[in-house]
Amino acid sequence: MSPNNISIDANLPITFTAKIQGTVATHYQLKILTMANVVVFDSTKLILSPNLYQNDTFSYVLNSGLTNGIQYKWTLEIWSNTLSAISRETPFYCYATPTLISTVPELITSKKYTFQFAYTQAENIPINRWYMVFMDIFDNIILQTPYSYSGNISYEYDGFVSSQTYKIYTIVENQMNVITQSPIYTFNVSYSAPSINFVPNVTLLEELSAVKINWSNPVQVNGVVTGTSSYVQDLFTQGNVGLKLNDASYVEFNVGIPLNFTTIIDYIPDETFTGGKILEHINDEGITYEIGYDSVLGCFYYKNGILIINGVPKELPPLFLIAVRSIDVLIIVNNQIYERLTP
Amino acid sequence: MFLSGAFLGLSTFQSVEGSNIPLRHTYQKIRIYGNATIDKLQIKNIEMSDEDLQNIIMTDNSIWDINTLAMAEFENDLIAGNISNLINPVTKWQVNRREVSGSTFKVLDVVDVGVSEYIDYSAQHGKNYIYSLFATSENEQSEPLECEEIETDFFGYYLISEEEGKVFKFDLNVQSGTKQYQEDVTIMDNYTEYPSIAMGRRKYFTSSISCICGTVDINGQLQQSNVYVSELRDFILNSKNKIFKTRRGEIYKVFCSNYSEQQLDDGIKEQPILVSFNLTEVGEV
Repeated sequence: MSPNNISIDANLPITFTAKIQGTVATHYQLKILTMANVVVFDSTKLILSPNLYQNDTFSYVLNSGLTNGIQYKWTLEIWSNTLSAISRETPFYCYATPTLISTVPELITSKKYTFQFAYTQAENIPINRWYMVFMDIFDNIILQTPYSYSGNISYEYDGFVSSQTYKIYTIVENQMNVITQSPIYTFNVSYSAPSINFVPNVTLLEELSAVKINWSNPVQVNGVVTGTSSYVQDLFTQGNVGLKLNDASYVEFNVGIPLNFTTIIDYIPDETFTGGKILEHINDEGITYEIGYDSVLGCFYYKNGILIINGVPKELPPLFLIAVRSIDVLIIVNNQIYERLTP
Repeated sequence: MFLSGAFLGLSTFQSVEGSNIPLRHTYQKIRIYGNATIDKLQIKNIEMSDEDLQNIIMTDNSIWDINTLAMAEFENDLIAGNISNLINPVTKWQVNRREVSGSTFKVLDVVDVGVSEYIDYSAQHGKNYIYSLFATSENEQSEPLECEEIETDFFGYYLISEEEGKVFKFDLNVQSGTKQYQEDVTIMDNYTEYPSIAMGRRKYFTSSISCICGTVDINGQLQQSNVYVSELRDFILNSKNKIFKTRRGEIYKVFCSNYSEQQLDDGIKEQPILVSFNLTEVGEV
């Protein structure tokens, strides 16, 4: 029989149900009483049309008229022609439906935010427990918090991704076992998210039946120009941008370079280039590893500490790739080695 | 500036004045001089081969890989790191996994920023996964950095402790016992034709594994040192829950018990030890 020892809202229609045991039920009478046995509702003996049979469900909708805050009990009497059977008295409570609302902003500007929900119930039935559910725009559940038994419905979510839309709702169960769901709130997240430029590596470890993911650590390096410079649009290809360094200007990058390294750069000397330094690696102790073009000798040179290597006289190509390694330098033109400076 | 993993110290190699031994040093900065237009700077922590260098297409955008120290594309900025637009320092990496057919990521772990590797022991055989990373700072979280798709392919029975990073594979003469599910069913007789059934939520299995303990070396010889046997014994009996993977690709959280060792013939010094133990499912992975 239902309702059975549960709480329902007297302001809403109440459905009473029971399972029929017996061959046939032709009439019924439903009574609702207070715990002091005062009858507050009596359907009187009515015909069941159609008749109900073994395991059929009896159902009666009462447009209430009961009062919230009171405990009741109900009985059902069923007739099979002239014989009747009466159910036991089944208790239930009437309490107003709780409300559960929040003021979730439409836009959240941080990766974390504390959500708070307000629970109210007319007869002040306290909260038993609650949980929150976070979903993505496709209603996939991202997080369902564990049950909390705190009276304060508050949870800090840490991990929102910028430019994403999320949804949230909360479920509260009060101490009369009434379960209430809040409205589903939709909100956007937008903040200045770090931009990271690398692809993590993934490897299958068959013997361990595992997968390894490894990645670079974050490196923040910004160049600084000394002198004058400008950006050259549509360099090589449409949309590509390069940096034009004017005469006696240079761009410097602070980056730790180990013993074994390779530095690569595309270099397009200006028509007015008159020779000199092209690329320099600098040690804090003042030791430099310099590559340049000697316009007097007409050759590339390599200067590493006290060691100076001049290449053979060669014209300065209009466009080349410099590849500097710890012990040699390659000048590459059209994917061919044009000059190799090696001690 | 974040230069974790970079080499900031001085080289141990020094030149001898007058010799022709080149000076090898570590460096702290580079300068590129005009009068010229420059593009696509890359600094790697390896010495690339002549062939690799000649295969570089000057117009192609580069990819930041595990060997990259700095990379500048000069796209109207002078950024040469792999991270930008950052207000607070990155403090954590969040490692996630999703199946290619699914859209929701499962958070595997959140590790400190100094960590640059994660091993997912809970990967299941026969799946296509996409792993991703989020860099997180106090108030920011990056876009997900997605790895390439990977298809998992393992074959064997594995017992794994994620916490200890230990994996034992059982593949030699392995025999798995019946996978017996434990249920909570009560059959109640009453005065009708049939009984009533009451069923609880209990649903876990018990099983067993027995196999020859050891590993096979590259020459096909069984390696079964006392150290290995002892490690396996301690591992199984350490009373911690473990991940158990089957040859079919199933994955469970289990507790191991009833460990036993059987020496097949006491008359032989070096002969296989058969180990067996019971498994009880204790949760979801």
